[in-house]
Order: sequence, then structure tokens, then C-alpha cells
Amino acid sequence: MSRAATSLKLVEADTNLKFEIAKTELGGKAFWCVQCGICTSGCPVAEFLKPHRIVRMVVLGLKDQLINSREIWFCTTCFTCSERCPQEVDPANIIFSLKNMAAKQGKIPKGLRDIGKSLIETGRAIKISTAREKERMKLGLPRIPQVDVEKNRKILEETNFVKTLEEAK
Amino acid sequence: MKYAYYLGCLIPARLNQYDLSTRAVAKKFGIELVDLEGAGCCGTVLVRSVNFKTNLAMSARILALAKNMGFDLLVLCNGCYESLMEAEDFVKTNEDFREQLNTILKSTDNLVYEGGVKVKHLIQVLYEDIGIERLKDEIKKPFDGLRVAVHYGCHILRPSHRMKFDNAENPRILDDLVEITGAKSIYWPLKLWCCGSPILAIDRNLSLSIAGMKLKSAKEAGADCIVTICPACQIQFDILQPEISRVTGEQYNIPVLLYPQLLGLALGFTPEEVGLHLNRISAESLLKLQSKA
Repeated sequence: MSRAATSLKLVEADTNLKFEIAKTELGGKAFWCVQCGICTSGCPVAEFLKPHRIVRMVVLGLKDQLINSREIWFCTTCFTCSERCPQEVDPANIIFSLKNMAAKQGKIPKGLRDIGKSLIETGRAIKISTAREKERMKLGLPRIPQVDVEKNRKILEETNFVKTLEEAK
Repeated sequence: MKYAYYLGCLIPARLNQYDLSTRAVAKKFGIELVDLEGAGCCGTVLVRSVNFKTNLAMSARILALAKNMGFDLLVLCNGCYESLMEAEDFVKTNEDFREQLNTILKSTDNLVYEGGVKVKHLIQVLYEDIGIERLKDEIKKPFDGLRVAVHYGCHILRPSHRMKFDNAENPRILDDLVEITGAKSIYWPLKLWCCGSPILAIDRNLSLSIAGMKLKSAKEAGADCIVTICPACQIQFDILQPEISRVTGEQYNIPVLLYPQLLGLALGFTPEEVGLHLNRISAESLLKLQSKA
């Protein structure tokens, strides 16, 4: 794991980052953080990802280091940090914003790209195998409702999801 | 009592027993489930990591489809519950964003959504609409003394200001529902921890080692089984349990039941009727604890 904060290059900092994130619909107020560490103490992956450190890096404006880090992708999205934060910083949604920024620059982990591909092709995050459909018949369960794949794909196109995925590496 | 029934992706792809046992229990209590046609994925938190607008637009579409049907939504998946509740909250509280979402829905599917569909997880319907007392009256084969590690899963609890489900730090709904079957909900230290599932596609070993810590915690607390209400958690603990053992080097052999399976058995349904044979870790040992009708 790279320890990004050990070599701070503040001349390259983007001091607008904390405001840029706060202005999105997801929100998240990094500038309210008092570094108490309650977020990290409840984080199931604290060994690899420390929410209070991420938030501090956002305040410092270390955008490139954050967006290129692997740490942000280790977030399990359990929302424990946001639930417990006494300052209503909402670290989980700040991490979502950082991941969205990374994705826009083409940085998406392969596992998520595969799920995205399935979504574009079938309208579902995971394909339903014919074996599973046969199992349903055997159990006397009704057929799975059909997905309107085209209409789903239009939403994926309209929100730039398809474009982001095509450009991802 | 009629609901638009939305299964999402994981359940038909991996856990037909969740669907089967839910339909059995719903029928018994007169809950009518009408399949939601045309719906795709809810958008899931996995999509949210890439593009949160895609996530919320997909959920808004499902809410709009349910609205057109005229019913509230019944879901079985915590992930779907989370996405749909988030979408509903954004639509209700953020006018600009509501317009953005509606522009997308209008241009892609000629749909409009202004809010108002109630999203309910199966266990809320059981707890609130049917009620503990009525459920209790129907218990035919209780699990006397069964020690259950209750697992809620993250996305039904947190963030609590949007999920509006139960006390996020000390929930009781599922514990109470488990205990009407005669079982005991035990204290286990990692009860409210994440199962690790959302990062399965990103770092499989890390994801499974988190699940391993939870299994160990349940086992050390003396649990006979784990009870879940989320397909992602169920897949981690049950289907992937052998793989977790390979990662951690520990054996768990702990059965994992979906709540309607536990309830169904206590109501007197046969193991086949709740799809117990489809669970990977055998739950046969638990049946011996059931008292005869």
C-alpha cells in the first residue's frame, strides 16, 4: 500500500477539492472534520483505508494522490463512518465522490468494469444462468420478469455510464 | 395487502430459495406479490462507485414503474432497499436533482417520478403489517433453544437518516422476528459489521477475510447458525464459506439461513418448501432442535 501522505507536495494541491465535493448531490463536508478518528475506529477495512486520513487529504487538496490511490476502492460502503461521525462529515459519500472522479479519468477496477458490462448488455448486474431458470421451474417458481434492456441501456447512456466504461482501463 | 414485488439481480441469479421461502410465507399471511415487469438492476452501490447519477436514475426508474402499477414496493435485497430509499429521499428533498432525474426518465422511458412510493423490505412488512403477535400465533414447530447470530447487513441500517429502518447501532426488528420462532438471538461482537461483499469484485481475499472474521465471531459466541436478510451477505457466509476457509485456514461449518427460511420452518413448512436443500452448508442439524407439532 502506498503511503501517499508521507511525501506531501502541497504546491500541487487543489485547494478547491473540498468545495467541489461538498457541492455535489452526494455532499460531504470535509472541512468540518476535527480528526477525532471515530470513522476509522469503526471501519472494517481500517488496516488498508483510514477514512479520517482520506478526509484530511481532501482538506489539503491532494486530489491526484487520492484519485490514483488504491485505498479509495477498498471502501466496503458500509456507511459506519458516516453514521458515527459527530461532525456530519459523511466520509463514505466523500469516498464515493473520489471514486466517481477516478472513474471519469478512466480508473475503474476490473471487477467493477465486468459488472458494468453485464449491466449494459443485460440490464442486470449479474447474468441469470439457464441452469438457475431451470431450477426455478423445478421449484414451481414463476418466470423471472423480463428486463427492458433497451430502456435500461438508455439510462446508462444518458448518465454517461457507457462512455465512462468504454474509456476505462 | 398487495405489493409490487421486486427481486433485483442477485436473488434470481444465485438464491432461488429466498424467493421460494418468501412466497411461501407471504401466501400464508395473505400478502399478494405482483411481479414488477420490465425492471432491471436497481443501480447498486457498485454502480454508485462509478457514477452515482446512474445509480439513482436506475432506482428512480424502478420507483416510477411501481408508481404506475399503483402499489408500494416489496424488496428482499438490502442493496436494492438502500438504492431505492436513497433515490426516494433525493427525489423528495432535492428539487434540482429531482428535475435532473426526471429529464433522464422522460427522455429514456417517458416516465415521471415525483416521489411517493413506499419501499419496504420483507421483514418490515412482516414486522409492521403482519405484526409479531399474529406471526407468533402461527408458529407450529418452534426452534427451542436454537442460538442464532442475527446479521442485518449494512444497507438496510445505514445511513439511518435515509434508510429510516431501525436504530442503526442497536437494531431490534430482526432480533424480535427471530425470537418468535423460539430461537435465541445471541450477543456476538461483530454483529453490525459489514460482510465484505461489496468489495468482492475488487479484492476477493480482503472481502473474504472480512467475512471470515464475522464467521469466527459468530462461532466463538456459540451460534448454531447465522440468519440473514440480504442476498449479498447470504452468498458471502453460505455459498462462499468453503472459499473463506481456504483464505483464512479455519473451519466454520456454520449453517446460514435466510430469515423467511427460518420463519417458514417454524410455521410448519417442510425443508423443501423453503428451499433448504439449496443452501450450501447443510442446515439438517438445526431441524433436530425443532419440537414436534
